[in-house]
Amino acid sequence: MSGQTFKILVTGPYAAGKTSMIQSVSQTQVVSTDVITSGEESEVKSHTTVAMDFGTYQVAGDDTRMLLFGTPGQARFRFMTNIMKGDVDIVAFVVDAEATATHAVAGVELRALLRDLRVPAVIAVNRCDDADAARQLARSLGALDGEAVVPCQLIDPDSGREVVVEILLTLLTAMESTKAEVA
Amino acid sequence: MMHNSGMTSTTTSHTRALVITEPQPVWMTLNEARERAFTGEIVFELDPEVVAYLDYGVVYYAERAGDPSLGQRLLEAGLLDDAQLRRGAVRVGEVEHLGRLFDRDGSVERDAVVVATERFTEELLSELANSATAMAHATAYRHHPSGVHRWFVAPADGAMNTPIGDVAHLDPSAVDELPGLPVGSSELLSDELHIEWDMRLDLDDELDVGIIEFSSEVPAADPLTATDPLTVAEDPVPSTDDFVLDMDLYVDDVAPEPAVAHELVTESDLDADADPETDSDLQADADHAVASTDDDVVADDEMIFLSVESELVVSDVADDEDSDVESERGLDDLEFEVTWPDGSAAEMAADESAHRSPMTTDDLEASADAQIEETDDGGFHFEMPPLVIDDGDGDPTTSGDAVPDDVADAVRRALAAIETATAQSASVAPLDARIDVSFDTDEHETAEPEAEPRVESIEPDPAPASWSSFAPPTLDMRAEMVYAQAETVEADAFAGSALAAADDSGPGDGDRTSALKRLIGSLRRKDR
Repeated sequence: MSGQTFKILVTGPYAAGKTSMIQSVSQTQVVSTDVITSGEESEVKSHTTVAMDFGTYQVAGDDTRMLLFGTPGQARFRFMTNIMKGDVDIVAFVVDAEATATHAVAGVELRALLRDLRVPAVIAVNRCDDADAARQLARSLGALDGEAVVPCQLIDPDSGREVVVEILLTLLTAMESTKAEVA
Repeated sequence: MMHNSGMTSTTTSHTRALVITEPQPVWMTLNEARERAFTGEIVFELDPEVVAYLDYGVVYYAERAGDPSLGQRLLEAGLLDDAQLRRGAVRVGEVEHLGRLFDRDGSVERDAVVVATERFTEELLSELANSATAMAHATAYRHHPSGVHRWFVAPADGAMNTPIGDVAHLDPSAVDELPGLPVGSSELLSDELHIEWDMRLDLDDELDVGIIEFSSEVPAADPLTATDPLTVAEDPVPSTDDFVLDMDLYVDDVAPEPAVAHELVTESDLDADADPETDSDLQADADHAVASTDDDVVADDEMIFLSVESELVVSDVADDEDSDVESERGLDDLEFEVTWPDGSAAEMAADESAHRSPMTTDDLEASADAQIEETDDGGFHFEMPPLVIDDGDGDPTTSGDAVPDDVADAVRRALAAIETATAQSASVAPLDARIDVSFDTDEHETAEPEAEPRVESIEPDPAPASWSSFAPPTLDMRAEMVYAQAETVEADAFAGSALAAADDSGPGDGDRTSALKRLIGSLRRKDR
């Protein structure tokens, strides 16, 4: 059967690498709703997402496709995450391990995200190569034992693609485990 | 009854320090602290020592020396688990600060924890209050090191935790039923303000003027007019609190010569003005034409009036009193000529007036040039000042939309691209072709082929930076195409939730799993 669509929500704090992750796998040009930053944000990066990023991937010769939605990182757009997380298959939370100043906000966002999340979640720890350190950071932010944690370097598209594969594997595991429970 | 507590106190304007000089019952100490709205710590010299912490006279926590920490007590009570305590506590040295427990771990049941803490406190205090007598030492503004004080005085950030679905939505039908309101909100007008525009019908035919019929007799069938607070008196019999302006008008085409002064008049002024027994006041002040009220500038009990050189009676008394005054002063014979700034007086009608926005004080400032002149036939000529709509930014030419253009443009592009579902094609459309995305509602309502987006060639270099990263959808990516494709897929394929999809044990479930495996395999091949 063809025509299956999988939707991934990519969220996380400001400048964590969400757009980079989407760009690493999207076959179409990412619909990037970037605008030039201003104020303090301009000291971090020149452009930022204001509505959402949108990337797609489609299996060659198949109608199976994947849609990636990236939310803005600023706290004032957090309502979008709340809206979108109810209509996706899995959520990826991206956090920059080296941007320690964002960790407090990241913790608040992650806990708010997980509070009533009904789909699996994966925490992608950007700018981190150590799985243990990534897991430790994720735990300190409020990730539970069951959450998958993936260290990554999202500046590298291959790393971003690996994260997406891990996300899909987590989704597959969740689907199969649920199916087993039903059976 | 012993009233001398043995406690002396010194109170300043900012602190309420307590100095206790001799042992006394615990309840008495607590009572004094409550009466003095004491904030801080009271240590009772008992064995073991008991410490109570108060905020504005209310004990929020009390413990014996040697008691387990609050976190440990909550663990023992089963209200927290180790993980929650680890996440929720902030440890600074030996101090385990729980003040941010609920902020740091949303899974903690706040109400249960707070109630349990209150129970700990109440049990200890009720045990001691009536049975112990002790010396006490008070220290103002010293709180429990666990930070529990923050639970009882810091407001919970409910807005952050409210799911978006819990937000009440407006009933669109209620909005749809509204008539086209004027630019200014009708709320600007006082509830008690009613204006009656009595039009004399015995005008001279030779004037060839349009007649303005501003009255409460406007046909109710016209919702625009019938609901306009400028033209309709909701209560046909005004109460004594109602403000009624009777005004006789007729219209002539005369070039505008704006010159109107304005002034603020309070209702108390109106009361004085409307007193029929003070003719001098009437003569001096009963010459105001109501323009508008602006609650941003004018207090609720104030109204703004155009100063019009006439003998209009302005009153907040009942109709009959108005009538008495008018007949007494012969105002029935008063006539006005009104010229609107665009010179289209003859085209003026009640419906048009219903769309006219109320004037604000800024409008009046900007157009305070209208004037009233006495005409040759003994009537008055009134020139309406030009109306200027100001959205508040000082520039009447700009709209009220505060969204930056680049943000709005970015959002529009995102919505348009998602609407056309770019997953249909893996190819990236050339960047030298731009889709002119127009948000025509007809495009969504019809499946007509001519509803296709318009494609036009552009020069790639001058394209804005925001466009350079945008993949224009192709014609095959139209929403109609995507929707048509979606109809061929099982309904659960788009259910959104993996769990919901997995719950379906039908044949489509295996397809979804296998599709996911193919997707993973495809991505892994790319890895290699």
